[in-house]
Amino acid sequence: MRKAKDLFLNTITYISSGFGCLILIILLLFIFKNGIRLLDWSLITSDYHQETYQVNITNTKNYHLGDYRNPQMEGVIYSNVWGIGLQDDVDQNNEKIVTIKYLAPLSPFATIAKLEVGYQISKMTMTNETGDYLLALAKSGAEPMIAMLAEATMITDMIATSGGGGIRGSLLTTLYLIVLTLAIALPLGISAAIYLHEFAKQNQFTRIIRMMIDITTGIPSIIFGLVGAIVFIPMMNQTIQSNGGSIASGALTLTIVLLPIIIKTTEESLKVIPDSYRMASLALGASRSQTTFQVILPNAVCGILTATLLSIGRIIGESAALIYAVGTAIKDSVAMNEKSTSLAVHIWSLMSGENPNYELSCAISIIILLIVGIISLGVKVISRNINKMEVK
Amino acid sequence: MTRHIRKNEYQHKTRIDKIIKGAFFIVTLFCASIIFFIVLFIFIHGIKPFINQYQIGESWYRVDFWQFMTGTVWFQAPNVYGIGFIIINTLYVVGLALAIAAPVSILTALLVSRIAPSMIGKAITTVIELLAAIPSIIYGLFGMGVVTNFVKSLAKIFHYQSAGGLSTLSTVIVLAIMIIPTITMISITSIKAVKRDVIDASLALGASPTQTNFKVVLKSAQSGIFSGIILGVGRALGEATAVSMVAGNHGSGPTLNLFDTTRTLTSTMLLGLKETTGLDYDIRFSVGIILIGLILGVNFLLNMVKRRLSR
Repeated sequence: MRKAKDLFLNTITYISSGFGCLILIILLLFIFKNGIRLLDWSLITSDYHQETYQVNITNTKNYHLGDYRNPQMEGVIYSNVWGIGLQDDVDQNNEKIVTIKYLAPLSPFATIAKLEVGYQISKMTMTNETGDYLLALAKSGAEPMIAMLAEATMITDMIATSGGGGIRGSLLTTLYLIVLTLAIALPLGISAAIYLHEFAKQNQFTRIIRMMIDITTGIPSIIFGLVGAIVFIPMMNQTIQSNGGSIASGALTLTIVLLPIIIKTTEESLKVIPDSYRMASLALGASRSQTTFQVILPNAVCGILTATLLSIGRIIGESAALIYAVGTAIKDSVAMNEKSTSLAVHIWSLMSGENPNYELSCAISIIILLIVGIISLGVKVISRNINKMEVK
Repeated sequence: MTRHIRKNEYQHKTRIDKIIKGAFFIVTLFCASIIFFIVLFIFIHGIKPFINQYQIGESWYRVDFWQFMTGTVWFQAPNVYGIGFIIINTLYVVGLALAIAAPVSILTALLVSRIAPSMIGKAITTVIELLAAIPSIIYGLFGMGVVTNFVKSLAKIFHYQSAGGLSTLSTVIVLAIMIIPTITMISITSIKAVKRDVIDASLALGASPTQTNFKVVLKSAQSGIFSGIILGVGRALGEATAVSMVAGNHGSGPTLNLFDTTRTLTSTMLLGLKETTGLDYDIRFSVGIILIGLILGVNFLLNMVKRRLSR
């Protein structure tokens, strides 16, 4: 009876921990299944907003039609009159588009319209020999478009787009945020940690200061966002002439989010340094500050590195604070005094619209997860080193 | 002569010491006062809607504080805002999430630190650490893509038409998933800190290992586990992004039905953010005050309970 009960209880614990594992597996499956298709180099390097070209090919003297060679490409529908190969495709919003897969070197599309392979055609208006207008839309597919091209003699109006759907701007913004935030937060956080651990008398006053820093850790990030919106945005509007939220106001907001974390982590690493180091240095005639900068800090490097990594992880994952303190407009050109989105807020912008874009969101999520995974691995390796030092 | 130089040098050194100490002290004071400024600024901005007059259309309005605190409809044009039901929704959702997360986390922690062989324990610890490192926006994405679909089909079984799965239940599940790592990690630490003597005594008295784990170890670790729960609740109350993505932001309430859309304090603050001036923007800061108050209040209450438990 007792054995059966024990077995039952043990089974329950296994089931509960299975729950956590199951969640992680489902989450990873979902993210990778949806996002892996978009994950390639062009995602990182291309702009989010599409470049649109409006062109026409109407001056019949400048081109000739009719005798282009068929390149025989798999799945490409080809017009030997115009020397262009098209293929049905879907864009990131899962809408049907027509992509240019082949252009003959002398095709009017290449020589006059200056289009390139990889551009997408959304609309084409043509006239045939008798002067009738023909309209081909991307949503009806490549085949009707080619069929109409076979009759057409002139392209009166055509809209093509290139690129788009990339995250270059958001990636840059995230990097800017990381560099700027760490440049402000690390010196402040480390000095505060050094003061609390090396200089301060451990009295009631220091205890209150510690408590206040602890409470700051428990404040949710959206509240920090509100502070960014009413304090840092006006401050930056005054100093660097930004208009509304900017990367600078976002970095200042993230600074106050991170300060308590940096102070805590650095202080933990200061605690590990044996007192004999301090005493030896002081006994040799070094002053307090010399000891701090030349003995304590070099030994606390691991802790400071951990704090840096944790901060980077937090910056990359932060969304609520930045939505308020910067804004949600996705930008391709990134500047300190302008709005743009970090990777996480980019996902928020994609998901909070009318048609949530799962594929691109999941692709960005894969990138975020990879970075976060590398960071937690790094923290683990460093903390193992710190533990070794403690044993010594 | 040499003595004189030494003395000078000594004075110089101590002066530098004093300057550096002073500078570091100012920085520390600044870091500690952040919390004070946060509360102050949000308070000053958040009470504006109840004091200042706002121009809406032709006339000027202010918001009634009593209606704001007790209202059951978020917004009635032009100037009536109510968050009474939102407070109830928030507490309801967080309570349910805790009811799922707490048992799961505590049992997982017990398995990792006492029951499972060390290989399995390490593997599960890694899984929990990974879950803790995932940012909330990705949980929100997961909630929209997976949890809402699950809830939608669950609602169908009960012949209930849910709003595409956006519901109280989805919010509860997402929140539970997000606070499981927090509670588990702190529970693991406190269970591992239980003294060997206590365990040995229990075993020597003839209790089986499982009985010891459930009756002695958990009892001795309860104060630490409770700290984990307090942290988890804090995180759940303040979680904004993921909750906003699955809550559905119902305009009135309170919502007690699991399959209906809900609205929490944080989702109210985050969703529908368009303009950055005017009453509709400023009222979000009032919600912010209430959120800070709620978090501090719940924290205080739970700490009271914890103190009573450990007595």
